[in-house]
Amino acid sequence: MNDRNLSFKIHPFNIVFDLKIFLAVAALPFLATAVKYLFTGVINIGFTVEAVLAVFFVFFAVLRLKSIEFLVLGDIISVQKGFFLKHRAQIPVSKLSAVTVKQSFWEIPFGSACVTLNTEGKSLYNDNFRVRLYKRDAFRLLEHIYGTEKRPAVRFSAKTLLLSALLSSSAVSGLFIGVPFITRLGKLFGKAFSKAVLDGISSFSKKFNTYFPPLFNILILILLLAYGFAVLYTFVKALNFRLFAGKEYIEVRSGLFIRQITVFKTSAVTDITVEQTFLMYLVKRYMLSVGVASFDRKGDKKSILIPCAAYHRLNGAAFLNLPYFKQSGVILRPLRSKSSFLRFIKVPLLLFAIISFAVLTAAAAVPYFERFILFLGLPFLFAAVYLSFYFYYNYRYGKISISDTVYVRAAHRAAFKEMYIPFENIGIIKLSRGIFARKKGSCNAKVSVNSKRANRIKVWHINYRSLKSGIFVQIGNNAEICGNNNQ
Amino acid sequence: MLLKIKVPQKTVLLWQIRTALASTVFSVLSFYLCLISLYFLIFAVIYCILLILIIFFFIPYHILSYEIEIYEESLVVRRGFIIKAEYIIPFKRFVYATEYSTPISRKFKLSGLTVRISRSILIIPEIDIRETAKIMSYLGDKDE
Repeated sequence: MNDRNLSFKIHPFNIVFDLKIFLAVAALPFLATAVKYLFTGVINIGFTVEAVLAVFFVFFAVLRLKSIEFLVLGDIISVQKGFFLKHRAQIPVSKLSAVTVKQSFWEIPFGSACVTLNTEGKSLYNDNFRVRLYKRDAFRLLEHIYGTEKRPAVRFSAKTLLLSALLSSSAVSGLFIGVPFITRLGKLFGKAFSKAVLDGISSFSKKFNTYFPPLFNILILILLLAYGFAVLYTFVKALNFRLFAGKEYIEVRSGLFIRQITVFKTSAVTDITVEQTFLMYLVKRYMLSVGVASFDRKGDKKSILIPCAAYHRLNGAAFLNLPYFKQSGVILRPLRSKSSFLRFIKVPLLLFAIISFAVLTAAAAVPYFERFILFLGLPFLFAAVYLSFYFYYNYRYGKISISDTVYVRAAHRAAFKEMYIPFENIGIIKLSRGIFARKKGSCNAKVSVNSKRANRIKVWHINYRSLKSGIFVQIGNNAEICGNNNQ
Repeated sequence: MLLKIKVPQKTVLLWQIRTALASTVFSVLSFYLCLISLYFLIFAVIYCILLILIIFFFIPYHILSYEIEIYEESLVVRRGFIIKAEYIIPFKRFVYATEYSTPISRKFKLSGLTVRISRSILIIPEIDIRETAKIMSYLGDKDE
C-alpha cells in the first residue's frame, strides 16, 4: 500500500483542447479579420461577434482550467473537473487497467503530456479520465502507480517495424489518412504528374495501357499512394517501439512525433491474439496483441506487444508473464475428409461460378463494353478467390480447445487469428447448426470475449457433442447434453 | 439440468396479432393504391402472400423453436428452425436481466426477458409470467 500523497499541477495546454471547437470553426476567420482591422482599420459585425465569442470561450476555458484538480492520496487518484457543475472522481489505483501518457511533437517544447486513466470493473459506469499534465509529473504519476521496478526491455529494429508496417497496412486506412494529401498532390502536380506515373506503369506492362480503361490505372495509382501513406503512418507511429514486461505490469513505448507510453496490468489483459494479415501469411510472420479491459467510452484497448516476428519467437513468449498464453485441453478440428472440404469450399466456388457466368454473359451480350465489364468483374472475382482461401484456411487450420484457456484458431475478416482467452473472460458462446450440420453432428462455434469490444472469433464445422460437453465441463455443469442432438 | 422452458402457443398468437396490427397501415395503403391503379395489384398480391407466409408459417416455426434451459452454472437458449443457434451463457458472465411486457402480452399473462452480457444482449420472447419470474430469480441468486 502506497501512503504518499501527491499533487500535480495542471498544464495550461488544457485550455487549447477546451477551445477546440472555437479553434476549428472560428479561429482562422477571426484572425483574418483581426489582421485586416490592424492594417485597414475596417471593422464589421462579423468580427465583433467573433471577438465576443472568443472572449466568452477563453473566459470559460480559463475557469475550467482553474477548476481541474489532480491529486494522488495514497492509493486513490482524485480527479476534479468543472466550475459550476463540479465532478470529482475517486479512482482506486487497484481499479486502473491501463494508464497512457501521450506527447505529440508540438507539445514537446511546452513540456506537456496527455494522461489517460482507464478503469476496469464490472459496473456500467464509464468515464474517460483524461487530463494534460507536465511531462515530468506524468512520469512521477507512472512511478507512483507502477513503481520503479526495472523491467527488461525488448526492442525491435527499424527494419522489423518497417516490415510490420508493410505487411499490416491497408490501402483503405491509407485513404482516410492520405486523401487530403493525394488530392493536394494531384492539384499541385496536375496532369504532368499523373501522366508521368501512368507512363511508368504503362511501360512496365503494356497491357495495362491497352487493355484496361484509364480509370483502372488511376484507381491503382490512388490505392498505391494510399497504401504508401498507411505504411508511412504506421511506421512513424511505431518508431522507437519498446516493450518492458514485468511480473505484474507491461509497458509499451512507441512513436517518434507522437510519443506514447501505455502501462497496464497483466491481470487486466482479457485476451491474447496472434494475428496474420494475408501478406504476413505469405512471409510467415505474425503480430502479437492483447486486449486490455477498459470501460471508457472508446471501449477496450488493443495493445500490440510484438509487431512482427516469426512464430517460434512468439510461441509462449514467457517473458510476457501471461500464464494462459499456451494451448491446453483437447483440440477439436473440422473432420478431414473430402465431404468436409466440400462443405467449406462450396459457397466461394458457387460465388466464383456465378460471377464468372455473369461477367462472360454480359461481355458476350455487349462486346463494345467488354473491357469495362471485365474491369468491373475483376474485383468480385478476386474477392471470390480470397473467400475460397479464407474457407480453405478454416478447413486446414481451424481449431478450438476448451479448458482453463480457450484457444481458437480461424480466419476472421481480413486476417488469420489465434486467440487465447482465459475461460473466465469468455462471454457468450454461440453454437449454430444448419440442416446438413445437424445430420453430420457438427456445428459452427462463435466465441466472444466478455469485454466492451467483445472480440469474437468463429470456428467452423466442429463436432457438436465434443465441443458442448467440453464447454459444460469447464462451466461446471453436469456434462450430459440434454435434448436430441440431431433435432 | 435444473429447468427447461418452452415458449407457449399463446406467444405465437401474440406475435401474429402484433404483426397483423403492424401491417394494417401498409395493407390499407396497398388496397387504396389498387383502387387508384391496377398496376399496384401485383405488388399488393406479393405483399399479401408474404404477409400470410410470415404470420402463418414463419412466426409459429420461429417462436416455437425457442427453448430455455437452466443448468447449475449456465443459461442455454436455443432458437431457429433451419439454422439452429444455441447460446451458452455462464451465470458469472451476465450483467443484468430485464423483464419486459406490453398491454397485449399482459392480457395473455406473458412477459419477455432480455439478458445483458457485457457488450452482447440476448432477447428471449414472451413466456409465461411465472416462468419469467423463475428465470429472474435463478439469475438473481447466481449473481455475484
